[in-house]
Amino acid sequence: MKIERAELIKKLSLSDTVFAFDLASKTIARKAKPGQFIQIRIFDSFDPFLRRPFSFASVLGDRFRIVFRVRGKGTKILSQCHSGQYLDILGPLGKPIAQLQNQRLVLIGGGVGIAPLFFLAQRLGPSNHLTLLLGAKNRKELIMLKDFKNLTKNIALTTEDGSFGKKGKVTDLLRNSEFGIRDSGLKIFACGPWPMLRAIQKRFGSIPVYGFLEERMGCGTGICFCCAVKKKDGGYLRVCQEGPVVNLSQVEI
Amino acid sequence: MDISIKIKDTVFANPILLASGTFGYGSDFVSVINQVGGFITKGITLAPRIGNPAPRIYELPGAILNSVGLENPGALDFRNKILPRLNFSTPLIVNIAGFDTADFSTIVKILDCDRIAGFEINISCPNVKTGGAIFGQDPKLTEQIVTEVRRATKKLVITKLTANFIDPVNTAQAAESAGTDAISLINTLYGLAIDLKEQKYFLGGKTGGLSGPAIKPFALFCVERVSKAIKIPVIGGGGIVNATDVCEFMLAGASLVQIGSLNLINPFAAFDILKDLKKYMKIYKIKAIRQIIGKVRSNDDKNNTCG
Repeated sequence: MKIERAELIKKLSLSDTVFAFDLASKTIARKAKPGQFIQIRIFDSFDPFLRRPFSFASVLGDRFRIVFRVRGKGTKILSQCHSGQYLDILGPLGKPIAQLQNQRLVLIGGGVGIAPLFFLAQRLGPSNHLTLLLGAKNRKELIMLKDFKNLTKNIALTTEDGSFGKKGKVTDLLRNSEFGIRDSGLKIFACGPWPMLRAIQKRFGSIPVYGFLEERMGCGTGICFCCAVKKKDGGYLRVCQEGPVVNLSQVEI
Repeated sequence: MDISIKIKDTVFANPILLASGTFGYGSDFVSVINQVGGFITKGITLAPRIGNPAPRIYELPGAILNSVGLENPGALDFRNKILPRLNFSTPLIVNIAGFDTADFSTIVKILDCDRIAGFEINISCPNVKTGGAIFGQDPKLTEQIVTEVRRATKKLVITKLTANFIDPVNTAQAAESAGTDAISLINTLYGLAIDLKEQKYFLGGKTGGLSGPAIKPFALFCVERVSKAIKIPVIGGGGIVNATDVCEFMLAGASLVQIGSLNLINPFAAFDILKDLKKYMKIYKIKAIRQIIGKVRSNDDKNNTCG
């Protein structure tokens, strides 16, 4: 991995607090694989001190997209960047999701967690069968919907306010869904807040659920051991090194 | 232009060391490690440790507070599984930590081999409940630990001191009389972060260690104070982010410096620092970097700065 200066080509505001940045970097775009992320240095003034991690939401040619919600100082400053500005980026980082072939896959996304699933869906070969379950607070936060619809028709949607799709949370779709607990050959990828991952892991006993993990991150490169998530068999794994996408049966959630 | 520094029998190609805990065990970024003066591993304890619960890091302007808690595979696994895979030519220094005074020399006996250039005795970790900084706050325990390690190895022995709640001059002199080859300081400072929303401690390990540019003036103060009180070399660190910081620490009395927190935001930072360091030496007509060690002048000194 290297540090690249990537130009912010296009900035989109997807809702009041959610932004999409299209960035140009040949090196990063060509190396990026689903499941991976980048670390952006917000300022070179050491405030904020640390970089901020962002998953790839899509990659096309020499460009890639990140999607983020403004949650604190770092994302707030980032959201005020303008197109034409250059960002200091370290990546791609993290373990890529292994190549998938002839699989029945269910991708479950909640909130901005929808975004990294798009890059995964985008890179899946035609031999896989894909179902998408996506949920957000309201219609506006169901991001990248058009893009997803270009990939598959198997999409179920929820909004918490009922403004689009079924009213409720994306995990409600699992209650009476067609997916059986003993449905062998099924693989689930989930990206969203911890309670969502917890509910999904609980619902599917023996079916492998791969979750996109989040934890307070230091370096993003595996050398500081800060982004620790407890493993079931003892000890911790590093989200940035052994993850961010891991089989949820391996970790304490 | 000479940027090398020699301590005991070890020649460091330049004064930049990568600080313990901020660059893993040395199996990643080998191209960076090969360019710096020396590499110091993450702290190794006798038994394996899983470390502290998350969150392990908290951020504030110009600083970070960490509470990793010495997660490491233990001395045996480090020797058998990690050490054989480390293939860089830079002097390798193993940071060792203990919970009992006898741990340190025991670890040294397990690890001592030709591959290792030396040991850094960590009696300054703020993130463990026993041992760690508690040893480093007591000159008698410091002397005892250093004496035992000194007996156990002929290699370079560095003692990493704490500056928390004590005058490091006392522990530095204790370590010097017990035979340490160099002193390194400062380790992170005690710190606490509180999560207001939850009204609980932010870090999983409750307290943490503060590092980054915010602590640099205090680190410089300690380096100057300690280097004036002992005869052996001082290795300085605390918030170094560029080549001017390196020069400042050396002027204050450091023979070598450690880069720590900066590695978390730029693992390639050492490249830029080395390039700029050579630039400064040219501008200020410094032929050998060792010439500036401890050469900070008093404010009434009217002589020219350089040349």
